[in-house]
Amino acid sequence: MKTLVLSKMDVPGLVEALGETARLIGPRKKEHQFVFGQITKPEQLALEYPTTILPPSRQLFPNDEPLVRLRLDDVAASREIVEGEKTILLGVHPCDVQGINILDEVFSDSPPDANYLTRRSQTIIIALECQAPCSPYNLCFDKGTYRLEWGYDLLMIDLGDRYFVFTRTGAGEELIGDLPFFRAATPADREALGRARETQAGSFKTRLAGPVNRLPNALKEAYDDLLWEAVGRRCLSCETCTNVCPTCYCFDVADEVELDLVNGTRCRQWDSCQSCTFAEVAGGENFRPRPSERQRHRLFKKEVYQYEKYGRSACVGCGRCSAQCVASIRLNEMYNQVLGG
Amino acid sequence: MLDTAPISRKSLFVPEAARILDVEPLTAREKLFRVSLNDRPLGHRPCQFVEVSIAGIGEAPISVSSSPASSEIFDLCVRDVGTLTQAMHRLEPGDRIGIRGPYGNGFPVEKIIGKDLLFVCGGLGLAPLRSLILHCIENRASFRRLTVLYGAKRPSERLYREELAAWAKDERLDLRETVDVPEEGWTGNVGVITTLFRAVEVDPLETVAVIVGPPVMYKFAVLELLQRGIMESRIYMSLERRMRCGLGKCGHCQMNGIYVCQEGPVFCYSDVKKVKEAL
Repeated sequence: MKTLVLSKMDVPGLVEALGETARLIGPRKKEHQFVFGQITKPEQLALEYPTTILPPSRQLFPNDEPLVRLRLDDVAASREIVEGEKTILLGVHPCDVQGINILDEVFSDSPPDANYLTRRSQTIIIALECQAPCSPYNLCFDKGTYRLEWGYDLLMIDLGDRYFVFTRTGAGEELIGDLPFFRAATPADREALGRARETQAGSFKTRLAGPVNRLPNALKEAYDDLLWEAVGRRCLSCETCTNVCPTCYCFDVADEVELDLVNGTRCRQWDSCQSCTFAEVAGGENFRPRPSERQRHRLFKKEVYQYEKYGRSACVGCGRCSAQCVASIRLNEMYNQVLGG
Repeated sequence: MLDTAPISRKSLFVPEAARILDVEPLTAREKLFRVSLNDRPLGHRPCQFVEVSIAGIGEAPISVSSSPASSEIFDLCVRDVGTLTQAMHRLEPGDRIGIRGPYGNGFPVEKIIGKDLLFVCGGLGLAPLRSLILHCIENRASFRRLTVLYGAKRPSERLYREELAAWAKDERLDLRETVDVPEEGWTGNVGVITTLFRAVEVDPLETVAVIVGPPVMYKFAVLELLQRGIMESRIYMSLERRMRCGLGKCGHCQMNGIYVCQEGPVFCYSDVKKVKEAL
């Protein structure tokens, strides 16, 4: 691991240099919010952003992803589509890096998903530590996801007029190899880093009534709790919570046919366990017909099922589901209710 | 960058070409398709399923209905309830479809050797269970008594009617049937499937039961079997869910934390009795 420093004056130059080597994706302003999108000019980059509407993991798991090229007149002519190009994700917050790490684990699980992994293997992550919580709903302090130890290639920490930069991987070091924008960190930079981290730690606070490692059991004990009924009555099944989640990966597969009625594409589309038809089978039986059951399933999938399978939670505490819920259903409030807070 | 072992670049979603050799209407709603893959035998185990696709229409999971012994040509029994299955009903011999699979765990046939077998099937449940029943008939010496209980809604909805007539005369197995609603000419039992249990003698220590049917049937059938003294670990069931991808990823078939398409569809009652979304 190297410790480097990047002056903020040099960020435009860096953006131009990186854009020449790969597709550069970073936070951009979109009206009063922010999104991850391609950065072709330095002024498009908005590194000082609270959070984005959609998480950057969706760049690796895009909606309507083509999987198979189809010929309607000849099934034997079906051809796989596995795409990927060298991509740099710049300015990814720690919670969102963890979100990508979780998708990596899910899509690497047997049988591994070539579409996701091909794209992922050509992606470099330049993470950016947050200085303060981005909304009243973040659980990143409770979840320990406001800082990063792994899962990135480079990590930037804001020191006011410059960024402190840690390299984590060979790919990260190679990326900045000969670029003139970085210099070795000095003792003064390290001191500034210590101060920045102290200020940062002071600005995050716990929002949960108990430790997160109690969540799996607390939720299991609350399986038949009236909480789900209460939440289900408010839930509109609009699927926003799952669409904005960095770790949701449920999908549907659908065919799109071109106007010539000969060629088509089998695509992977984002789907949501909150959709009323998600667990419906062809015979008409619906195994999760009620919004209460579907909301419970969402939380259990994050905190119980993935905990039992992978030994970790699948909620990175980014707060998007709570902040964007049109019915004001807040994850932190539900967690506090089961934790007894 | 992601540090993984060399990634298989082969997409899991590309279907293999298969040819429809024969189409036989079984009822007003179900057709039997005899299918052959172009390049290989299917190589399925009883109670596994395949993802059938028609380019431009989409995919759907369909149980394999034929014996594993003859998987160069395999059977798919299809009810026309969805977009894909309705399109499939319009296909004819010679037409081609796409196949992915087989998927799912299939039935653990090695665990039931030497046992009395009691098959409990309702409606379309006969389609997947037929693969196991045929396997047992073909390997008749490996099992003790074979009893098949089959319940359909109406006589006209009975699947594989010629085969049922042959099974009724076959001394190698004991077939008992019932219908919920009789129609003209029906002289057999009338009533839900649990009414058939009364007439069946069961050796509780030696019996393995297998249930496949509509979701509502399982609870009642399990209760009946438990009352007969059959052990929880000897009650098997195939729990069909919306197995959209077959790869343990898409989430549709999840039953609490269980991906039915990978860990199922065949489960032992003792393993799922506490899984709240199972029964």
